[in-house]
Amino acid sequence: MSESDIFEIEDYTTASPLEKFIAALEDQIHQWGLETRGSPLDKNALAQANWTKKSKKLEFLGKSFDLEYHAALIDEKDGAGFEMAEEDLEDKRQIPVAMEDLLDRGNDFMPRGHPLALWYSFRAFLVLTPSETNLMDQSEISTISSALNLSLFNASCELPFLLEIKNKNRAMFTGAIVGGGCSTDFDVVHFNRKQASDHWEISNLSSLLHVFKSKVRSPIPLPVQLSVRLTYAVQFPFPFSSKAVRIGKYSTLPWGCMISPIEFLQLSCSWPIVSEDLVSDTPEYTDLDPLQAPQWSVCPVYNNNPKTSMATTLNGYLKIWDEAMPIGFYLSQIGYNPNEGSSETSSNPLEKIVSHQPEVTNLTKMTGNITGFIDSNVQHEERSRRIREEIENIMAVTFSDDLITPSSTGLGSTCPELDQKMKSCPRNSLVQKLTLAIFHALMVEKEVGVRFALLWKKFIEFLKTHFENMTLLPCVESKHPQLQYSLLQQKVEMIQYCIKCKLLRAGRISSTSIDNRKKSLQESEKSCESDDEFFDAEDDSKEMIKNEDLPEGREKKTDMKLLKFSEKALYIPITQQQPPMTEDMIEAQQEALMNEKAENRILMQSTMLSSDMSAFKAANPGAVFEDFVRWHSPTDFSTENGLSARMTLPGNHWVDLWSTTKAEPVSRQKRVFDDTSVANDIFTEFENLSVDQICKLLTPNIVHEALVTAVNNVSTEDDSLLKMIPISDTIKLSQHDALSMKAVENVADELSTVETFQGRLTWLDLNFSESGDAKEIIKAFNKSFLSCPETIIQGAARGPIAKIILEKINDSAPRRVDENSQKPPYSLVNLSPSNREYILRASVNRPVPVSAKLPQRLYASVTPSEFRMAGAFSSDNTFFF
Amino acid sequence: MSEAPRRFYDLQMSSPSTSKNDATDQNFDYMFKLLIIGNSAVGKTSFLFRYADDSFTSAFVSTVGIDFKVKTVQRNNKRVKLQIWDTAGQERYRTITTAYYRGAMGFILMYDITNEDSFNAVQDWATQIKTYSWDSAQVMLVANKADMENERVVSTERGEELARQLGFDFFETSAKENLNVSASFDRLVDVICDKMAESLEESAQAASTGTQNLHDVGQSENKPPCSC
Repeated sequence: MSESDIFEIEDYTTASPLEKFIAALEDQIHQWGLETRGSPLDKNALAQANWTKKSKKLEFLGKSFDLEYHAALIDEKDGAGFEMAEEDLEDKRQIPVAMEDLLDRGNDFMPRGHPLALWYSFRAFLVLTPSETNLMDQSEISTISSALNLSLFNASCELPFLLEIKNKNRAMFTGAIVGGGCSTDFDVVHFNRKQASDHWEISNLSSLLHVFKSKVRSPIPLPVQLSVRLTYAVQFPFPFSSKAVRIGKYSTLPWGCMISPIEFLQLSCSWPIVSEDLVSDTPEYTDLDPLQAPQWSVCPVYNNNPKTSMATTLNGYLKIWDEAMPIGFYLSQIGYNPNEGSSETSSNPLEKIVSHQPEVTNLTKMTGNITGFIDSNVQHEERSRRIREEIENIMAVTFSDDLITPSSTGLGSTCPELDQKMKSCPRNSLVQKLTLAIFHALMVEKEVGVRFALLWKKFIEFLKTHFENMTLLPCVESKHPQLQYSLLQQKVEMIQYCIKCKLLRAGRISSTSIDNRKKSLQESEKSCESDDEFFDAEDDSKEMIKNEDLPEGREKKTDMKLLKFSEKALYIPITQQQPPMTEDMIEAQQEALMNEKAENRILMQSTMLSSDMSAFKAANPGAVFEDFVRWHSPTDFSTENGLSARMTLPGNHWVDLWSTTKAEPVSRQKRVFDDTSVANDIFTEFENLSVDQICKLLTPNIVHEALVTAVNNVSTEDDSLLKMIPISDTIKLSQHDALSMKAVENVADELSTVETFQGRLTWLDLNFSESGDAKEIIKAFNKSFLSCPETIIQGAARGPIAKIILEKINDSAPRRVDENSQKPPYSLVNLSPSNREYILRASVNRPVPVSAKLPQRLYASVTPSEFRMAGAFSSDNTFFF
Repeated sequence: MSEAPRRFYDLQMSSPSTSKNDATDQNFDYMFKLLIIGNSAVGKTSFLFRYADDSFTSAFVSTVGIDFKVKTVQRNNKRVKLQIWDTAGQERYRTITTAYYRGAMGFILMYDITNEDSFNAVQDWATQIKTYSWDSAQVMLVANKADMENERVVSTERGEELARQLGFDFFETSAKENLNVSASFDRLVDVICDKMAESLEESAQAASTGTQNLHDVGQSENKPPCSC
């Protein structure tokens, strides 16, 4: 038995690949449930509609294809569509809607959309595109085309269906509409300027008419209807681009577009309907003078990447965050020894940077290039010096006490919601100044990491110097760490607290402690005076006998008397302050408590209680435990019942502690809070942070500043931009310490949008300022320009808007030397069109005079680089095949 | 700075592990940090022991600083680990206890029905919560020692009225007679769960509008904010 025999047997049950492909196409058309009917479109309905797209991958002959369905989402007028359709049925043959649309003039020259929709004014269509390869082979194209036709016919789908052929970048298609016993064939012709040099003469109306008529072949009963559009790209200046980056030197943060957010204004001069016999357009002469066009319209062509400066800066920040290098990595690049500075105590931290010279050893390591060593060494030194100077300047300016930050000027700048709720730092605080300095270090495009690292290093030195010299930090107001602020702010506040403790201690040695003692003595003297003689005498005599019973460290006298000495007043002692904690310290304490047994947990927290007891004993010689409880926990003592039950429990921790503590005033007690070690812990921690860890500390403040900058810069007339700034979400994240890289990235993206939109508004405001006689017209124009796909200009070439545009063209286009020489055809002032588009239409009985009258259409576009024709020619298949 | 310490508000999934100790038990789906606050001697510690250990002693040693107990409960088939912090009510400990407010998802604010002062202080405690805790923290107002009816000086109505004014839920409880102790904790856990679901929804919505924005800027022909 030969192989062919077997094949023959199985052939009956196996569908061929082509059949399978047709079935797959048909199946997909059914699955999508495509609507092919519809009522006539409103004018510009397609341009204003949103478009939907569905797609599906298919396989055929070992190639993969993308089947796509594109459709404009048009609000159907209630019921109207169906009524119309029924009327149509009675009047004439019902041809597919897509075929009728070919003659609809209301949706010509859409400003945006899929090229097929632009060329043919489709409201919905199917397109099959080879995924990877180009369809070059003619027989393959024919096979697939016939498969398409068959599947459309089988599915009774009356949508245009196109197949992309030839080279992808040429956008060539072939396809058809099948329905109502008619069909329309689509063909696209495309020439590059090079190829087209021979054919360029046909790129005018008279030649196009010739092509159209010869393609239609049947006689055209009425003159061909024409629509023509000449399009020009008009450049507008965007002069504030450089100003947007730096307004003022260090007090303003980056904001806005660095390049024009609107690349150019696209001006279209259209003749929506012209009869072929009324216009002459040949290679030698044209009637098509743009200044005479009945309709002018414009649309903005946006810049895809207007380089928004705040978003760019934030992204630069995210980049170094992501790289997560140790600080030393950057510092060594400029020969800055990371260990230096910790031992030095220069009074001015800025001096160190200036006086420091780069170390050659570091540089050799850095360059690692022996031949280029001398050169690179010099360059390197120069670079290091420059960066150091720059950072020094930034710090000198931002850390100076009189830096006026945008918010302190009060020029409608602050965002109260942000300033009150964001977990970052207070306005005009030292941390805010650091944040501003960081921003300025980030604003340069190169060597951001080095600048960042140096700034951080110098900030630590700044803090350290203040601590060592016992100078209070500027702009740190809180008395102790405030948990509603960011951790960095809390730590800075903690350092300030440590400096204060140090000052107090230093002061106490010379005066404070004596003062305190004096004060309490004076108080006791006063009380002696006010009290009766006996008390006074006894007190004196006691002092003389037992010196250790002299009360010490009294803060305040109370109305209570000691239980054992009813003549002695109970004094509140001077106590040690509860040591303040930053949130990471609280967390560490919490963690520590959780790992201990209950008894130990009490012991761990007894330091303050024991200190209080000592101080109380010292201030109230002869006092008993009950006296202490009366002051410290008043609810646990009553005159009737004495101590509460819980204070008399055997093994009571309070009682135990009371029995073991010695009378000692605070001045002689061990400090519960060790300012030196707490401050040094922070310094050590800061010095060992890598960049990503520093970023985590800085981020809430950075984001706060970025949002404030956004709020300050968006236009105040319209709050829609303000609403786009992600304020409340970011506040929430900051309160939960959840400002991750991803969150900052989102903020950057959203701010980029705001900057872009703001840039466009600024562009508009700059170029079409709402003033003068035409104020209202310009206002209406501005309202539409950025929000509508296309804006019709009132009065066409003679209106006030056209006047502004023509002035811009005049200003920007180079003047022609010879004013008298004739301007080239189609040019507007001195500007050549970027596109010339023509649509030729006719309704023709085709292919024979008895056939139905069907739409014929040819679209053509001529740009400086290419020439394209897209034809749609319909024929009646009913009586002619 | 070491790896960020584990946050108590993180709603984390942890791998199950066997542990004898409830405090270190990692077998839970969510962890809620709760705080019991109120004047000294209103019965906070007794209340907590009743709930966590189902035991009652007429007197506990006055709490020094802060202490905690852990209890795991089931909610919608999820194990919720409650880390309940008991605080000293004395004025002297105010700084240390308020430091623990941040990160707490719920509060039991307690007064003693036999002690007028403790009731009068509720307003101050509520202010403390507002100042130091998260905006989303939930609060139960609990009137303890309901068994001591003979010595009652604060009527139920006054308690209810105050709770209404403050926007808190209200329970009269007795740690001694085990009245409403679990009920008040259960209610607190429920409202926290509700609040959580709410904010999850919100953030999901925020995320979707966020993508909308990104989508807009991705297109060069995007629509600016003003309508046509």
